[in-house]
Amino acid sequence: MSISEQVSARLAPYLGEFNAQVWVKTVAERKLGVPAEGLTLEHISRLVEGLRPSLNTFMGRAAAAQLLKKIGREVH
Amino acid sequence: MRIRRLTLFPLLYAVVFVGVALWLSGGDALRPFVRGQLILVRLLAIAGCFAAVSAFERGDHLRRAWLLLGVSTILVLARDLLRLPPFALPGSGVSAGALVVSGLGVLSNVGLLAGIWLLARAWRVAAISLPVGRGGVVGVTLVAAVLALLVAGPSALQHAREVAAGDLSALILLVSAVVDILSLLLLAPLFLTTLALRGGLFAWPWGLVTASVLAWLLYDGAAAVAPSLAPGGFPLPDVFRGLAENCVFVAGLAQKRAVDQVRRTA
Repeated sequence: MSISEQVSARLAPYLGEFNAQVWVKTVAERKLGVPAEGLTLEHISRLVEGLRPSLNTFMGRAAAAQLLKKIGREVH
Repeated sequence: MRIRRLTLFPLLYAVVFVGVALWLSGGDALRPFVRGQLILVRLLAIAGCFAAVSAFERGDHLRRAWLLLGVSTILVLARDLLRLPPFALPGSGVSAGALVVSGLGVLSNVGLLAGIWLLARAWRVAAISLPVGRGGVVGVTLVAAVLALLVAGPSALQHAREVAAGDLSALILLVSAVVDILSLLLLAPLFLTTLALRGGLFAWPWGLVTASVLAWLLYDGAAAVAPSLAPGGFPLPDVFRGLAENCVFVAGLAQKRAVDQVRRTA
């Protein structure tokens, strides 16, 4: 499973599959300058930071921080 | 309890309300029953809003939204209580009591509008993509605008004419009608955010708030054609008011459960 798919799969139960995929793709392209399928483990910390503002809005900073920490820990 | 099951509560409540109201129809007990359940649904909505508030930290975008919804419901509950014995203040006119009642009504409307506006613009703050293109957004917004104007427009126009004729007591009713129209306009972003989040736990609060605004739309429509507790009449507007408040109650609980679930599993 690609990095993009792993991250999307961890966001989808909360934010829906559509949003999860679009968010990862948008952050990858706009903030990291790479296509979603080109994400590697080196991009994870910046990808997580790119996702943080959106997640903060929907689930609050504390829950977002926990979820992003989990993603950073589990995606390989 | 799973969120999916919670969402049945507003409908079950409406069914029970209709059953009891029909049973009491024509009797003296109908009015106290309707008034009593009005207090109950306000209290439930307040509980739901503050359950949602408790899921967030100070400074979180949605904490402000739910806080505004909760405070606005407290204000409208205060207005309802002041209209009951032993206060029994009038709901309209220019006396001091009527102005307090109307003022609470307007403040609660403005708070409700601000809270719904914060929820409705969450997608923009979060910079998420909506599942429809610009044409789709314009289309849904137009449908909401037409509905809003059809339902609340005539009342706004009537009160605007009264104010123009020098009846300042109608000013508060005009503000209330305009707030109604603006709230209904927010149906579009609420609905589209629900669509964007579909399949995820966080779609539930948005879906239920959207349902609540729709129920208020029906309330406005019912109140226009069948005034609440008309002599010998069925309290149809109260069915929709209960539905609207109970949707907010369950939306608040769903919001809290969604955030709690993230924390539990992360």
